Parts: sequence; structure tokens; C-alpha cells
Amino acid sequence: MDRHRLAVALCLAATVFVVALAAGLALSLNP
Amino acid sequence: MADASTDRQGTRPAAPAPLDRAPVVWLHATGLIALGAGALALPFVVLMTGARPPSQGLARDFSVGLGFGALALAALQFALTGRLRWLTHPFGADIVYLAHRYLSWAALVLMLGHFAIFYIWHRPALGVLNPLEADWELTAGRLSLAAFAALVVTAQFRKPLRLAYERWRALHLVLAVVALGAAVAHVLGVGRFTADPDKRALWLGVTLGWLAVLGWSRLVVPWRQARNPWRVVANRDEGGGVHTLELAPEGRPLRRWKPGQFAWLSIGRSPFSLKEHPFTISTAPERGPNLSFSIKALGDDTARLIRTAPGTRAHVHGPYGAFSVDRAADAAGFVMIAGGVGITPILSNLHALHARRDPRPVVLVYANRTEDDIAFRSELEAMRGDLDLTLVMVLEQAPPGWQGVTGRIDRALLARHLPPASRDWPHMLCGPAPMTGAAAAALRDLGVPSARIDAEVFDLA
Repeated sequence: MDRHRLAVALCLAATVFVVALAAGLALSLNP
Repeated sequence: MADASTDRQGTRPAAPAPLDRAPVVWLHATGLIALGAGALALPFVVLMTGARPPSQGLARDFSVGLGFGALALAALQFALTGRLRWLTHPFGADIVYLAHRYLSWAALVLMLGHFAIFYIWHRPALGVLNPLEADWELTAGRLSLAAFAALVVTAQFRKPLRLAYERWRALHLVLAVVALGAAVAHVLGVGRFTADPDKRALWLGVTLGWLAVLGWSRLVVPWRQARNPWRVVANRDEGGGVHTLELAPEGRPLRRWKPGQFAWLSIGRSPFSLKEHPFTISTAPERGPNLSFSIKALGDDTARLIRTAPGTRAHVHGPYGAFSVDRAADAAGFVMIAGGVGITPILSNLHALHARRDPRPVVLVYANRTEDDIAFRSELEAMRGDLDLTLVMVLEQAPPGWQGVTGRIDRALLARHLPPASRDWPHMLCGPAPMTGAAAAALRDLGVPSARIDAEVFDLA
């Protein structure tokens, strides 16, 4: 994978990770 | 035999940096990715420890989570742009700046999501818009959203908005601090997850930590630069509108730099000034402690820079970047594709191979619009004597009698001029984004693996 594509993949992964953390927070408060 | 003190007097080249071994670079990158994931998860860990607030419904709690996530992503941008060499090293600073742009858009989308969920399902909680009547912590949230949106939009569309680079940098800095400050005030003011004094202290600590990174890049680094000035000793016209400024260190030379890297350069100004630019170092470390920066007047401050008189004081901060032959120690040869002034990092890499008497073959495809746009022509032609260099000069508008290639870089041109054995060599591309994009697509089409194509991001902002 070239550096540019790696950057795109990492940014997408970081965004999905943060949304998953937000969803985890909401689900843990609303079991 | 020269001793160490002769380094300072310029009689011996500064020691070049060691080659980057791929497993070490990958390990470093993996560690940084883990650190980044930890930084993003940190606010959530803080929220979930100790006393938890009661539920306010799934959508509202998810919205709050999006807000915290957006803040974590936004705060991370201070680290990505903090000129921390240990952070940019494995990826290349150009790619880190690109990630900064993408992640800032992601943070803005999450912030808008946070706001939109409240706007659609819990509008009474937003109160009134008038800041004189609204709760201050909700006004702080709206201010943060507006400042962050302005930050992202002015960065993405600086040129269409006709914002001068220097003015934009000052605006970017102010908006970033306002957006982060207002967001933290919003979190602490709403206080639903931060009522606990320990959590408030931790939040403030995290915020101060991010601001410390900003202080590092804007205060500590310039202070160090002020104590280690450089002097412009020559200004040469290279053709094609490109001028090379040669700088000599008055103090410590640049240490551990690789061919193809760049540095932040400010000339004739205080290092605390925002009028500094990232420029490629166009010579190689083997050439000595003096650094050459080749600059084309493309507007803004560069028109002033190319007229710099010898004797002018300068400040250098670097090196940064990963666009280097030293990243590919195992390569059997190199394909280099340059467009216009994108030749500068490639020239630096060629100088390094030349100085090392490297026997590996290099094919350079160098594209320009007209013959007058070609820079470093005689220098490149002269290198062919000592280096196994195949030079393919491409002009879009060729004059009568032109010996090189006419047209644009495309699949057919590359298929014609690149030897079949070169498919597994590293392909180093630098130039305007449309050119490098088209060249990369053509190379992939010819069967070059993506991992063997590296394009230096040329236009950071």
C-alpha cells in the first residue's frame, strides 16, 4: 500500500473507531 | 584527518542519517497508530470511570459520545501539526499533513452529527441562539462548531477564497485555539460527565497537554531557531523561474537529514513570524553542511524569497519527509517522475546517488509545459556522466527541433520509456497533484504494485 492510501485508510479507521466509541458509550448508559 | 570541530566550519559534510530499515519503520508506525488510538479513546475512558451520569436516552447519549469523539479528533490535530519529528518520521510529514486535513473533516462531520441529533430530537435542550440570553456553555459549543467549520473550510479552499498563505496561517492558528478552547469550555460548562473534580482536573490536564504541543511548535522551536541562525550565501538562477538559495550554518548544521527531505524556511524574518514555508532541500547531505533550497515564485511570499540577497539571515527547521532513496535500500533501480518544480526533491535524491557513486540505474521522466520551464537542465545532463541516468524530458508545448518527448505523461509514454525490468523498482513521483495522480494510475495500469509508487504531496495548504 502506498503512503497516500495508507493515510486514507488510517483516517477512515480513526473515524469509525470514534463513532464506535460513541456508540459504546450510549449503549453502556442505555443497557 | 578532520576532527569534529571542522563540521562547523563547513570543510566536511555533516554525517548523513542512517538508512531507514523497513521493519523498524513499520514497528515505529504501528506504535504511533496505537498511541493515536489511545489518545482518541482517552476521553471515553475518563467518562466511563468513576460515577456515571444517568441515561438521557440512546440518541442523546450517542450524540454526546460523538461530541467527545469529535473533540478528541480535533485535539489530535495539534499533535499532527506540532512538527514532532518522532511522530512524522515513519509516514512522512507530507502525509501527516494530508491526514490532518482528512481527520479535521471527519471531526467536523462528527461535530455536526452531535449538533444535528440535538437539533432534530432534543431541540429544547439547545435553548435560544441569542448569546445574550442563551446559557454560556451552549454558546461556547456553537462558537466552537462555527470556528471549527471556518477552520476546515478556509484550509480546504484557501486558494479559491484568495486567502494569502501568511494571513491564512495566522487565521488558522487563532481559529484552532478558539475552537478547542470553546469546546473544552462547553464540555466543562455542561458538566454532565465532568461533575467529579477528578474528572475536571483530568480534562484540564489533557487540554493543557495539547496546548503544550502548540507552545512547543510556536514558541520553543522558534526560540531554538533564533539561537541557531543560518546565512544566505548564494542565490542562483536555475532556469524555469527557479532560484536556488544556498544557506550556510552560523551555528549547528542540520543533523541526520536524508536526500529528498524538506525543512521550514524563514528568510529575513524572526523565527516567531508565521512567514515561513516548507521547502525541499535540493542538495544531498553528502554535499556538506550548506543547504540549498530551490524555489519557484508561485505567488504569495515566494516572489520575495527568490530575490533574497546573499548575506540575509535565515532560519531553518527540519528535516521532515520520507521521499527518499534511503527508504529503499534494497531497490535494484529507481524510476523518478517529476513535474515542474517537483524536480527539487528528486534532484536531491539524484545528488545523493551521484555523490555515493551508486551504480543502480535511474530513469527520470521530467515533464514541463514549455522548454523555458525546464529547471536544472545542465545539472541533470551533467550527472549522466557518473550516474546510470536515463533522462526523458517531456514537453507539453515543444519548440521546433525539440529532441525530447512531446505530450503529457500517460500510460503510452511510460510504457515506451520505462524498461520492463523497472516494474518492481520504487517509483518516486513529485509534481502538481493532477500530474502525479495520472502518472500513478498509469503506472498501476502497467503492473507496478501500489507499494512501489510514492508520490510526495507537493501542495500542503
